[in-house]
Amino acid sequence: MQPQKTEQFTVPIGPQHPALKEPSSFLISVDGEVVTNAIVRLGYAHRGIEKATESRTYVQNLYLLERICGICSHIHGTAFAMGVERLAGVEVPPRAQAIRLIIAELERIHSHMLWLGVGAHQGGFDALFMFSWRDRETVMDLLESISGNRVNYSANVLGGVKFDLTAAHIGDILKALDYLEERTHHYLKVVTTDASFLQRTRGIGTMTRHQAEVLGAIGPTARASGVLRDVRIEAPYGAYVDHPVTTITDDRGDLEARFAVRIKELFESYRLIREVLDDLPPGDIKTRVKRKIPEGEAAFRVEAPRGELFYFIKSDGTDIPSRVKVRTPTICNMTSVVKLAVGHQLADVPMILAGIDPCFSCNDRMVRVNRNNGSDGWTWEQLRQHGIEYYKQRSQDYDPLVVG
Amino acid sequence: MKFGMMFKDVSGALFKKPFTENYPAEPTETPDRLRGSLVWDPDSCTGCGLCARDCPAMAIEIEVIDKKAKHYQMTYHIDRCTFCGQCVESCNQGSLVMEGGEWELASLSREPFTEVGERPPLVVEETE
Amino acid sequence: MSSNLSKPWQAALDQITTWARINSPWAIHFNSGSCNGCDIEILATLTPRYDLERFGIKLQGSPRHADVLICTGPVSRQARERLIRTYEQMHEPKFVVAVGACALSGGIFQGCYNVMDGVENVIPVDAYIPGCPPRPEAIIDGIVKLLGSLQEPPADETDAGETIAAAAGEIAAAPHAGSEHG
Ligand code: SF4
Ligand code: SF4
Ligand code: SF4
Repeated sequence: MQPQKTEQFTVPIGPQHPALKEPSSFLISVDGEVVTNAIVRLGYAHRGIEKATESRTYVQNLYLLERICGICSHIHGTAFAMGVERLAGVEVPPRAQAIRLIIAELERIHSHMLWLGVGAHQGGFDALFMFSWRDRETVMDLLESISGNRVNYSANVLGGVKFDLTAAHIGDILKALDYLEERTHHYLKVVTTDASFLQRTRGIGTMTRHQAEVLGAIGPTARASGVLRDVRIEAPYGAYVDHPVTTITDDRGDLEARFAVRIKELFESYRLIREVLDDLPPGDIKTRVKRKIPEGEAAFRVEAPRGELFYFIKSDGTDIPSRVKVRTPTICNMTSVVKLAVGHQLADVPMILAGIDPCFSCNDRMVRVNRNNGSDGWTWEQLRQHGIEYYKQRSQDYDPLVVG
Repeated sequence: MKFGMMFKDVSGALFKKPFTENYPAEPTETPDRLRGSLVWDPDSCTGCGLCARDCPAMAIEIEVIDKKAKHYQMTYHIDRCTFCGQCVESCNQGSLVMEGGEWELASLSREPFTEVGERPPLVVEETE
Repeated sequence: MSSNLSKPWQAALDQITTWARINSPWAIHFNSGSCNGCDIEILATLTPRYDLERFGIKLQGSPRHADVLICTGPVSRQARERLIRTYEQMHEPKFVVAVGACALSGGIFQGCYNVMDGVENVIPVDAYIPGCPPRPEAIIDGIVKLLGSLQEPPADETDAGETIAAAAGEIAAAPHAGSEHG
């Protein structure tokens, strides 16, 4: 029989679409029900934040950068604050470091529970969505009572944190963690045993370890494919130096593994918070940082709930940064969605997209290559060579990357 | 493999007290640290303008009408405020408070969003 | 828009549509480039703790079915066209709720090169909810205030009253027109 001549059809999704809470646009070519190509169109949430940092003071930028993303707001603030503190050469008191860690881990819990709900919702499992969001309110209450705001906590100041933890807070946190731990065990069981849900996740969107490395996946998405990539381990910062984390990896690389990895990370967060609360260092919660930051450059990496978050800050000695560059985790994982979607059913695409825990407001950074004045882009090899030389010159001991 | 893993949660919830807050009918409890709209204490303010300078959203304007008489005017734009608390942090006179401020701020017009406070001028006594 | 109904019938019909609208407004959510903070809080109002559906509010996928446009974000230049298109696709009477500091005035993003500094610079807004982000309770508060304002028709037949009446007329006229052709 002759193969039927099939017609390609392109389905536009977004930017305003009920399945996506954020504006983003996908052009998905399908052959029947099977995806043959996917194109992402970004930039609906591009606000020009990096440019705006160049006209605001460091203090103002702390809040501006925190609002790059409302879900992982604290970690953006922390990365910027720590970078600036490194430039200014101030030592942050240990208690402030510990509080930063606790809020960062609470944020990770809230982010992962949020994602669990959204992921389940995309798979049509609304009961799990509703219940996980119900339990997420426990964390939101904690964050609100500690910081005074449910989402953009604004806990950081340059040189420390704004809020101290009282004994009442510690009691509340411990109580909430017990409740959450019990619920999380239940959710882990649900996503790994519920037959109808497994049909939507098992073997869908499988990314091999090799693919994950080549596509540059990071965060839980990479860890679900067996790639151990976690800044908290590669280059511990702040209180993570004294409180090491164990990373959870999974070799299967499909959606089920991504669910499992993220849920298991919750247990790690619970353990870490308990450990830090156990011996919370006494003392001050902030030191003074001068308004004018000494000249220099700093790069800072932290582990956001979605993966590695990178900040580059350049100061020219005034109270306004001369350049801030942000690289967010979602943009690194986006390529994997485009690659993995090919060959799957159209109905699986939202699940695959949800699997990387996308955050488009983080995503929409922009780089403009000005080709008119002869500054062509560099090839990958040139860039690599430049990087190697640059670090040789500065005899910088770069943290060895653990790859493979 | 099992089916209906969430069935117990769902059916169990039928017989439990509702989790839903009956919000507009019953007021909710708010934590002590909740950051609401800014309250300015004109008596202790020195008109230094640090709060306005550090505000990331340009929500505060401090105008010094008469420095000698300590006559200041403060304009607070609630519609711009991001409730970040930096102004409270920056003010070293403790003239600004956010904790326990108003948070049910929704309105059908923009009018209530600009608050103007004024510190009455001191009567400068002639001492000689 | 004139309708063929006699006055008392028209008045009764108006009352019924207003009643229906207040008791079951359908909403659509549009993110015009916000930081996500407000969007999760809007989503949180639909979850068990706050349960916006108590008020008959249903989040709709299509602008053509919606009465209320819940808009967040400072409106980035790329999202602007989409916002206008979404707004125009909605049927009269339509209401716009701006949620969050950046939807009200640009908030923290005011002055960024790629934002329009607030929803109001693009489409008319009916209710404002400040906060960054507002608590879910504050969002409910804003929506309840908006619905409350629909309940009392304005004393002097101004905008809102007229649009509601006009829409009611449209609904009344539609089946009539249909029968003529059929
Ligand atoms: S809370 Fe933040 S945004 Fe609001 S007035 Fe104070 S500094 Fe400005
Ligand atoms: S920082 Fe405090 S003292 Fe200075 S102007 Fe503001 S409110 Fe007044
Ligand atoms: S108002 Fe604040 S929380 Fe809401 S979208 Fe804007 S920056 Fe984010």
